[in-house]
Amino acid sequence: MKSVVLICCAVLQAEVESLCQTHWPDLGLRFLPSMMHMHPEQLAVSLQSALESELKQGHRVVLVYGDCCARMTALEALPGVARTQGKNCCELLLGAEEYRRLSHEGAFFLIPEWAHKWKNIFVKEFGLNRDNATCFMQDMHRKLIYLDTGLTPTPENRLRKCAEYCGLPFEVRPVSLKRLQLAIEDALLRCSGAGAPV
Amino acid sequence: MMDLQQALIERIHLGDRGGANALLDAWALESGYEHLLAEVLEPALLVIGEEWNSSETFTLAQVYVAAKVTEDLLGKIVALRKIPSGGQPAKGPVLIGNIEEDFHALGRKMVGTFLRAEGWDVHDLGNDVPAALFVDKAQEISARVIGVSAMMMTTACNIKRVREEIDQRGLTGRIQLAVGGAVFHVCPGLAEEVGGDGTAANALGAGGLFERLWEQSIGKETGK
Repeated sequence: MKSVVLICCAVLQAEVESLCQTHWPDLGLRFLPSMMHMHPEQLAVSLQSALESELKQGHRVVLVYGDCCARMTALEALPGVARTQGKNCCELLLGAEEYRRLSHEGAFFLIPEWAHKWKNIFVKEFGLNRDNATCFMQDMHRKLIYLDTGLTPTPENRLRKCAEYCGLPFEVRPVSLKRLQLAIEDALLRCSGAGAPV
Repeated sequence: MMDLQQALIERIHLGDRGGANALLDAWALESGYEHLLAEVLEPALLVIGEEWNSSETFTLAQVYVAAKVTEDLLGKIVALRKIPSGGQPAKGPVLIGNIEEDFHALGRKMVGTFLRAEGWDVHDLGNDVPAALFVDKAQEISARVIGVSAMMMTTACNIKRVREEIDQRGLTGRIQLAVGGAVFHVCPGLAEEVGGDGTAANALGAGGLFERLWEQSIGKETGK
């Protein structure tokens, strides 16, 4: 039986590793840097390269990603490949309905790995100084929501500083890994053919 | 004038909204706000639009500040009644919104700002707008152009439903469908695939696109 590799965004590295230890210890794991999300065309090139090298070795592949680059649809359509169903990593953790509900409330989501890099992302990637960050975030959102997956201590100080920089309140929302687990299970079934064991 | 435009572009490059506004205010003190939009800001925005398309180092902050400076200036001009105000924009009503399941508001908001700067009466339906609501509202306000934004491929595909609504109600041509968002820049042909009547390279190009689609709508009705 061909082996299966998960190619994942490192934004969910701790969560995916935790699930694999418990449920799928034999799966291969490969992570790509989460900062590639800021440069979708680079992400597409790196994903394609990683995917091709796995497929050449006869592996089936699950992409643990949202719809993070324009080429994603073409990549997930390749034989032996499936992607977790969700528009982005927040939706993979929350489920579509809850993601939509919270988005309507004006939520800007922080995932643990991302929360540790918030300043680098706001200042270097977005170019937002404090004044512009506050104005921008208040224009677009009403609150920050930290999705606490329970694998690392909640970075209260870091969240407070991020919230101050953005001029928004923040809240911590515990989320289980169940939805992510189900999304990966579903993709595992699809990449190996309907209903086939993995 | 060229010096002022260049200085304004530099302020925007630095993400300096206050500095950009100060430059415009100083010029307006001597020459008034009346011609500021057409003679200073719009040419500067054209340059910024070209850079935005061609430079990989252009940041979100620079784009955002360009939109906010435009918004600030519009507010001042309207307050001074230097352009038509009080619900009487120079151009007709148009509709914008993010398609169902899409929550990336920045591009849509910038399109709204730049359309208003060009005199359109912009009705913004916000994020996650169902297809039927776009067409209901367009009929209600007699909008000839609906602008639908989507950031990702999966949400862009939802725009097909707006196309279907327009066609099923017999409004093909009468209501024109403008589409835009990051995914359209990297997927040539996607605008046509989802049923769009046109797209623009970026938010700054929305004015020209809406102008063209508005004319097409009139042409459809008059048979010209």
